[in-house]
Amino acid sequence: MAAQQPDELEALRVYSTERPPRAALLGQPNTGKTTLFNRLCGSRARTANIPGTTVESRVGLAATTHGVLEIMDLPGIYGLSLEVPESKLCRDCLDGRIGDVAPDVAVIIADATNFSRSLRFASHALRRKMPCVIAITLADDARRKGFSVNAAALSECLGCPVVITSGRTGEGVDELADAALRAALHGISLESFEQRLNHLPASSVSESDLAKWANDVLVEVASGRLAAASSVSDRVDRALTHPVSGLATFILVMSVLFASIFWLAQFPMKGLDFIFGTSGDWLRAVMPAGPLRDLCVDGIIGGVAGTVVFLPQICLLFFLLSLLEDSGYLARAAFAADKFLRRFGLPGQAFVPLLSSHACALPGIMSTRLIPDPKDRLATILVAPFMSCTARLPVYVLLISLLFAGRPWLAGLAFVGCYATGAIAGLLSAFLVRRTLLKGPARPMLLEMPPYRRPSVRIALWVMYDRGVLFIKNAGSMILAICVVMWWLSAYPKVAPSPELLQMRAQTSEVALQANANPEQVQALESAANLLESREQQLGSMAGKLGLIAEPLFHPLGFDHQLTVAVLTSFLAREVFVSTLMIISSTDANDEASLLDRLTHNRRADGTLLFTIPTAASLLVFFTLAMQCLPTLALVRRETQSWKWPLLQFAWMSGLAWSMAWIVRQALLTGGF
Amino acid sequence: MVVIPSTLMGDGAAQSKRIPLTQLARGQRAIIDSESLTTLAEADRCLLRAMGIHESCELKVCKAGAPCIIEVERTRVGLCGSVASKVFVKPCDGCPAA
Repeated sequence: MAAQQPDELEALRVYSTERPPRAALLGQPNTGKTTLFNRLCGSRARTANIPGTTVESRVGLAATTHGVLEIMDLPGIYGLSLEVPESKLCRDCLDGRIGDVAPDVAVIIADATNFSRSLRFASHALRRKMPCVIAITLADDARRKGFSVNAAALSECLGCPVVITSGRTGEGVDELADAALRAALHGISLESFEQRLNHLPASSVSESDLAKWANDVLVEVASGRLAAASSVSDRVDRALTHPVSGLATFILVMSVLFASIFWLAQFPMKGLDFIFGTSGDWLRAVMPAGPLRDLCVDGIIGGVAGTVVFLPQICLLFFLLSLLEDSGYLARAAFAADKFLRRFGLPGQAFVPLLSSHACALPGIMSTRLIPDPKDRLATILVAPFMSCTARLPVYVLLISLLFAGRPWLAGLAFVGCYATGAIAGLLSAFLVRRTLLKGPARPMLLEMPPYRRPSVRIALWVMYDRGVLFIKNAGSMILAICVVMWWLSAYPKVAPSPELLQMRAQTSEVALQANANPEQVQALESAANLLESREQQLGSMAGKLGLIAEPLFHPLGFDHQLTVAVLTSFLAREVFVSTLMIISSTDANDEASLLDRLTHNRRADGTLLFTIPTAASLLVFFTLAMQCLPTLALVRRETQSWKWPLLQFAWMSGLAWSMAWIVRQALLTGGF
Repeated sequence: MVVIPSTLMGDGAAQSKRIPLTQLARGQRAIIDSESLTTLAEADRCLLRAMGIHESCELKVCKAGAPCIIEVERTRVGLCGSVASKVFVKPCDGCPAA
C-alpha cells in the first residue's frame, strides 16, 4: 500500500468534516456481509427504511485513520441485474435514484468459501462506473479449510483494491475502511474505468463462459482447495428436510423456542409491570388530582406500559431467531413447512411468523421480514392476527368457564377448538387472498442452504437491540398515541356521580367514622363505591356512548349495551374485555369465582339472562376471529406503509367474526339452547 | 491447486439421456441440460443462474426427491418439487447413486 502524501491526508480530513463519504456494501446473501458491517460500525449503526421504500437498510459510521466513513448495508442479492425488488433497489441506490445521495464507493463482498460464485457476482458489479473495493470475507474460515487468496494478485486481475477480511475475527476491517475511504475520495476517471473493464469478461457473455472466466481467475490468484462439504451435512440436511423427521424436528425446535420466550419473558415483564405500577402510584400520590394527573398516570404511563410490555417477547424472539438463522437451520425449517403451507398460498418461511403470532401478533408480524417475496410477506401479515395470541387467553378462560362450568374435558376441547378455529380461518383467508387481491401462487421455494455454522451470540445481541429500538421508535410511538386516544375516549366526559353512588360514599364515610369501625368492612364499601363509579364513568364516557350507538349492530349476536361497551373498549387490547366486564358487572376484581357467578346471573334490562349459551358461544367465536387489537393495526400500517391493508384486514376479520358468531348463535338457538 | 469442475474443462462427460432432477438418486452427479432451464419462469431461471446453477454446470444431489437439495461448486440449493421436476439433467457416466 503506497504511503499517503501530507496534502492527500489534509484533503481527507477536510472532506470528512463536511459530509462523510458513503460506502455501500454490496453482496450475496450468506456471505458474511452483515457480520462485516457490524464489525465496521459496531454500535454506531441504525436500521431504517431506505427513503421511499419499505426495504430496510442498516446505516452506520466507521472510524478510519483519516476520518469517518458512512456505510450502508444494502440487502443481500444474488445478482444486480435480477428483476426482483431487492436487486432493483440496489441498482437504484447505486445510481443515486433513491436516497439523498448516491454512494461514493461500492464495497463488493466476495465470500472466500464460495469464491468462484463471488467472482461472477463481482464481475457484474464492477461494470458500474463508480469506485469499487473488493472485500474478501470469511477468509479465516477458508484458510482453516485450506484455501487462500492472494489479494495483490486479485487486485491486479480485477483492476481495483482488494482487502482480505474476517467479520468474526476483525481481520482486515480497519484496512477495508481505509481503502474504501481512499477510493471514495479519489473517485474514478474514465481512463481507469476503461482499464477495469478490460480486465472483465464482456457483459453479453453466457453463464458458462462467465464461470470459465471465474475459474481462470481463481487458478491465478488462489492457492489450495476447499474440501467438499462433509457427508455429515448431507445426513443432517436429509433429516431436517424429511417430511416426518424434518417436521418433527421443526415442531420440537419451535416448541422449545416459544416455551423459552414465554418462560424467559415473564421475568422482565414482571419487572416492567412493577416499574410502571410503582411510577404510576408515585405520580398519583405527588400530583394534584385532576385531568393532568389522569393524563399522566392513566394515559401516558398506562400507554407506555402497554407498549413496552411487548418488548421482552420481541427482543427474545429476534435473539433466538437470529441464532437459528445464523446456524443455518431456518432455511431447512422453511422447507419442512413449505409443502403444507403452499396449499394455502403461503411460503414455508411463513411458519415462523404464524407460530410467533400465537404468542403475540406484534413480533409475528415483525418476523415476516424473513419472507423474501413481497406478496408472500403481505399475505402472511394479513392472516397472522387470526392466530390465537396470549391476549385472547383471559377472554377464552372466562367465556369457556361460563359455557362449560364443571365439565373440564369439554372446556379443554373448546380451548383446542378456539386455537384451531383461528388457525383454520387464517389459512383459508390466505387461500382466498392469494386468489383475489394478491393473485398468484406462493413463489416456488428456491433457497440457498447456507453451511451449518456456530451461531454468533454477538450478532444475535445486535439484532435483538436493533429490533427492540426499531419497535420502540416506530411502532411504539404510534401504539402509545392510540392508547392515549382510547384512554381519553373511555375517561371523558367526566360523569357526575349518581345519587346511588353518593349514598354509597356517604355510607362508607359514616361507617369509617364509627368508633368500632371494621377496617375490612370499610375497605369493601370503598371498593364497591369505586367500582360503581368506574361503571358509571365507563357507561357515560364517549366510548360508552359509542356503545349505545353501536348496540343495534351487535344486537343480532345477543350482546346488550354492557357487552357492546366491553367489546368496543377491548378494541384497545383484547385483555381489556375482562377488566371492563369486571367494572360493568360491579364485582370484586380479584375474585374470579365471584366474577363468573356474577356474570352467570347477570341480567339484561328486560330481566332475561345476559350470558345464555348462544350469547356466550357467539361472543367466544367473535373474539376468536375479530381483529380486536389496535397495536397490531398500527404495526401493520407501519410494515405495509399504507392504511389500505390494515383497514382491509380489520374489515375482513371483523366481518368474518360477526358472521360466524351470528351463525353459531342461530344454530344454537335453533337447536333449543 | 484448484479443482475445476469437469464440465468447465470441456470433457463432454455427459452423454446420457435427459431426466428430471427429481429422478436422480442421492449422491448422483449430473449436468444440467442446456435447454432445461427454459421451462422455468423467467424469475426462477435468473435466480438459479445467479446462484450458480446454470446450463452445463455439474451438480451433486445431496437429498433426492422433493424438496431436492443439490450442490453446485460450494453452493447448496434447495428446490421445491415443482421446480426440480422442470429441471432436466444428464447423469454423469461412472457416477453411481450412493
